[in-house]
Amino acid sequence: MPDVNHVILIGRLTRDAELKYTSGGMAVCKFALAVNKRRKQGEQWIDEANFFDIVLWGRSGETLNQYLVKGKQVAVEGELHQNRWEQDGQSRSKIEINATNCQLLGGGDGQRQQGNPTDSPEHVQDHAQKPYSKSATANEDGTPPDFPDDIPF
Amino acid sequence: MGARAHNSGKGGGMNALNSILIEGDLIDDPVTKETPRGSTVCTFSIASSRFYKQDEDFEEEVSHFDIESWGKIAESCKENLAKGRGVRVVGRLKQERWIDDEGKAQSKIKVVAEHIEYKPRLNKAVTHA
Repeated sequence: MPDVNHVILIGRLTRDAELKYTSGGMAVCKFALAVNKRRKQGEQWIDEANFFDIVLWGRSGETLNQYLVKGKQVAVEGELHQNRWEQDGQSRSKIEINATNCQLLGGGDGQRQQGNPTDSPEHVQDHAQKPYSKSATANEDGTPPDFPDDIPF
Repeated sequence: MGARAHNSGKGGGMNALNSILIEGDLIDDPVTKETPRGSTVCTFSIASSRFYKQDEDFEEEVSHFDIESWGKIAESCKENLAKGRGVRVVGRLKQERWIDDEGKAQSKIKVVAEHIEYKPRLNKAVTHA
């Protein structure tokens, strides 16, 4: 039986999102969110930032990448996921969130940072013209890449 | 919008939405500790399964997550949990950051439990405390 695994976060991007493609042609959009936690220390409220890595697969990652700029506020819904790999004979792991839905909120109106080749529009366009199989446009788990906008919550 | 919003008086800032619901089975017995200030912390790791279809077969992918509970929830975890027990955790995500012995910045993502449900023990019937 699959286990329930559901995460909802609202935060701001710490840098521009990066769009890459797997060898199979699947789009992978990665970014980090700063999620503030306000707590009281003595008499003062202080903001504590938590940074979480988000992975947005497939078509939604590809289309949203251009709007996912540093400072942008977004709501992310997804699953917690552990990435495991070997490095120098040592097993390493990293926890990230596989987003199933990403809503753009506000802020981050500034320009994309220059000099990042994976971020330049030409590069994105170049890849966007590649044909995709049907499975590449859906999310990893087979659900459609986006939910309708009229969910009442 | 923000869960557990606090009124700071000025600035209008608040806690950003940060919520997780996750299920899994304990990989090991939980570890309970007391902090220097006297609060109880109970930590444990869970294995959470996800299934996906590859060609015609269903593949299982297991992720391991660290869960941390405090106070009364920690006491309850200490009472009820053991290796293999299934749990359902409602809480929030937390990032821990520290500098390791080599001076490198390290970080780790944990789930802080705000509510835990225990799944029935599968092997033998034991009454709840």
